Amino acid sequence: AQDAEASKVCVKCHDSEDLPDMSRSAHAAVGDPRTPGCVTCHGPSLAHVTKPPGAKEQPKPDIVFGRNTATPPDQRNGACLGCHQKDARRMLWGGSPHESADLACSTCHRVHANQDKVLARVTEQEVCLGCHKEQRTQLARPSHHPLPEGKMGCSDCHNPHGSAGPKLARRDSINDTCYTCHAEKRGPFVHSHQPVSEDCSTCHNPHGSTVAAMLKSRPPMLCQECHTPHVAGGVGAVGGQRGVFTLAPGQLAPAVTATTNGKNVVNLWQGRSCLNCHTQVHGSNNPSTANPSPGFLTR
Amino acid sequence: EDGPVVDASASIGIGVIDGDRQDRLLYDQYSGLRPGAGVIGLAGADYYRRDDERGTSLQFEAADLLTGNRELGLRWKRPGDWKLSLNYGELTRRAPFTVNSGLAGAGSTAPGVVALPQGPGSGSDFDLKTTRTALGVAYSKVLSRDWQLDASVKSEDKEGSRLFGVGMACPSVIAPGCGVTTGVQAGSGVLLLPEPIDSNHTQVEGRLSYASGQLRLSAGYYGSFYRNANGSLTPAVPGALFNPVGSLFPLAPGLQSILGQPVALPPDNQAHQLDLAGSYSFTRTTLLNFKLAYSQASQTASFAAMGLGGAPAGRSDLGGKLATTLAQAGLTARPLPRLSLTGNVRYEHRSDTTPIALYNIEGTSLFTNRQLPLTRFSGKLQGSYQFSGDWRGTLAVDAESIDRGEFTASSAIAGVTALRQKTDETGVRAELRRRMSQDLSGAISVESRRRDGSNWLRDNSGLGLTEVPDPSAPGAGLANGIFSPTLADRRRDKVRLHADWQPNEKLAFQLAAEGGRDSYQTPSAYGLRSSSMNQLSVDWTYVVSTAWSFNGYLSSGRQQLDQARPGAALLAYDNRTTTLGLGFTGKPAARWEVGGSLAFIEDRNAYNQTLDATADAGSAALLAATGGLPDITFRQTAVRLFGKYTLDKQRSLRIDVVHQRSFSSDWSWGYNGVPFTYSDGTTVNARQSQSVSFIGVTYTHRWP
Repeated sequence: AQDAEASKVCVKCHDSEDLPDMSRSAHAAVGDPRTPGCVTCHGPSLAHVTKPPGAKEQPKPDIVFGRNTATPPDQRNGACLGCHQKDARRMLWGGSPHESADLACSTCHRVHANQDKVLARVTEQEVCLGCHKEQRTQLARPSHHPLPEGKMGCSDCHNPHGSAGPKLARRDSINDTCYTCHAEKRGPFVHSHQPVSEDCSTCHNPHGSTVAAMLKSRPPMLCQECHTPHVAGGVGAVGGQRGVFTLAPGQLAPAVTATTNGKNVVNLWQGRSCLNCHTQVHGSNNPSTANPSPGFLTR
Repeated sequence: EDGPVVDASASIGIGVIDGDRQDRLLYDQYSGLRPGAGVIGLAGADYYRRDDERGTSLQFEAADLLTGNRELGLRWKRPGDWKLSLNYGELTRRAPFTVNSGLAGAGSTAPGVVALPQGPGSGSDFDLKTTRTALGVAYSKVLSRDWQLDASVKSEDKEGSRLFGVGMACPSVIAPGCGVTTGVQAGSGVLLLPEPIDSNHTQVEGRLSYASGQLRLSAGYYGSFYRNANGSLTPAVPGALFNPVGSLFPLAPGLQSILGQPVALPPDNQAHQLDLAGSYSFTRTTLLNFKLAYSQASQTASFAAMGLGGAPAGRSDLGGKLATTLAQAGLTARPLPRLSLTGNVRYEHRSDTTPIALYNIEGTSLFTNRQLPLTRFSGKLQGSYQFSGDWRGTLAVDAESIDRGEFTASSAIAGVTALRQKTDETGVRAELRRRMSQDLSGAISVESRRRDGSNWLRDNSGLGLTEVPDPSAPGAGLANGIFSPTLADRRRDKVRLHADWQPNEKLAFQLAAEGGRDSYQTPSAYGLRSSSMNQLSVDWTYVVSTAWSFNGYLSSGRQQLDQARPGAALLAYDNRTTTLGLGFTGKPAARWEVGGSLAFIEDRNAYNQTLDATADAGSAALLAATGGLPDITFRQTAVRLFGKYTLDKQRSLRIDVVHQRSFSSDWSWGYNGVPFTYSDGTTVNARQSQSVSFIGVTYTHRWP
């Protein structure tokens, strides 16, 4: 109430024509005793209100949030966190990557507006990708989560205000964050795949890829970063190239013949590659103790 | 006295899209449109009502109402007292290809495989898609000045089917009795069998928070419950399939029953978590925060109920149980006016008490499943010093240790040379920022990291592991192995450069450049040896006037991987990506608003192979004949334009135009006119060049 009273002097100059419409903002809520006044965030700003004698320009308010402000980020953030740090989602802000990088709340948020881009799922990414340019490129690739289509937002997976997980993951680990939408991958399974249980991002790039399923690289290359390959067809070639089904000049026999088995060069490199047979790459709950074992993640 | 403030709008419109299903494969991936639908309806609504007398507000939003991606949202609140949110959303994802197959019952748990009598391409076309339908409710109540309660429930159904399948190549030690491929019998088979999806995921969260003075605390519960209506997939496989060169032959003995074995689908599972988080401000600049959490995940789906038999004696379900304990604490302080310090430690321990049983067989060898415990311990210390008003330096050190626990001695590893129980990583980062002038500032940072670990644990010929203290010793058996890059010794170096330049109030530029390199060291010369990436981006904005503004960016990046494989070839992956974006908004006349964007990407992927000394003659001949793998290029240009004409205060018209052209030379499903063909003649099709245009007109009425 004191702030509201002290702020009355501000609107003598900063009237509705001076400031954008923010009637839908929580900061304009009438009846909420927590609603801030101008001085709550900008400080009493006495010098700004009463221009000192001899001053050429009106001094700026005590706390300024604009682009070229001289107010240090922690002071600007202090104005916001005085109220907003009560929220559990912001309790780990101190020491978080964005705080450590000297970002201010106002770097991303627009307060004097009815629509803050970063609070709307469709427009949130415009703000985030302004700095995270590698992710901007990845999201433009054909295999991606539906962020460019506006059906997901960055904050569906990340808590930009600090978290107990890596990369500001919304939950306590990358996997736990992925399981909020992909709980079928959680298991545990009879036959687990160790890297799957440790970190989904070992194989997937959640921001996008040219390889299907947002894989970091194309199988079998990806699989062969860890696994000894089936030697047959270890050299890359695909059906339709001369020398695969038909002879190329100087070649004695085509790479794939009627008696070539399923581990042929085409089945290893095309279709789903290794997953053509090892289809249960996230784990299998098949308990069968009959040959061939589901332990090889085939069924 | 003024009444409630009401601000509402409703939109209705029509859109026309050209292009057939094949032209729209990429466009329709998340569009929510039916394949081939040429005319679509556009509808949305927004309602806002604020009653200052009661101190309440109500907001309702609806979007994409006439597509398969409709969304409804309602927020009703009395700020400072309570808030209720309701959300309903649908999301359809269509696989960006079509399938041509003779498969009967595609997407069911019992599909019937039919070898296409007329060969590949003579079957029926079908799409693979999944649809998520979610309903969420959230409620917050301010109990007092210091206490707040939050509760939420979200339930999501997921239905449809996705790419899946089975395959087997005989003969194999794991499939005794399965015949070899001959000139008159098919001894191998690869089948596309869509995974049937019919599941529900419900998530529940409750939280009680306290904040008073310097102390803030929050205690919460999170529950996640996954239920799958489908337990297994059992295909009916015919007695004859196509061999590798397309001849329809009887299957070798044993193969039909192997391909027809039940395939497990994801089992029901659940997880619960209790957590306590908080922070305490010692002074205005000294803050402690922490989080403690205990989670338990379990999986006890009945094997019989899933339609899966053959479990080891005494096991009717896995009885899987994981318990995770997390503790994290961080401290930020400013001991000197110019010095700020941040430090945190994090401990996470996952215990795995899943019962051990003899689930595995390889020929006649029996071994058990494996427990996967995990302990991570990490810490970070960072200090920043403000040398002057323009200079600021930051130095950070961090360390992380991962312990994957003792290997379950009665189990075995497959397809991996060796494992490592522990890895330790340390890193140091230095950053210097300078404000060169009021309009120009920049930062440069360098980072270097090292990772090593405990002794390698070699596969002990089918059961357990043997520690290898000296991997270079004669007979260590690791010289031709491949070692996981997540476990290998690694050196990582990165450099980043960032600059902001605002020559005047209208124009701003941003430059970002980064480069990094990883080098791996393992007991052999094979596997991933090194990787690198670099990217350069320039962004700009130009605000011509209050009516017109323009922006854009140009990024160019490169990623490389060098990988070596014993008995075959060295492989170098080289990816180059260029992206370009341009955008504008403007008000050419009092009643007009216009805007648009251009987005372009070109992503080139080269897979270069060279033989090494161990390559066999077959590999040499194949590489010589084919030249290795063809490059893959993805190129896409998307133009979006809109114009909005305001008829009067209540009415407006908007026109949207989109044109998207895509090109992909991906050879996953075919190359040079030759499709990748499953053993029943099934093929997967995606047009190389796709082009789609959309034009939509929307009428919006606004109240009051």
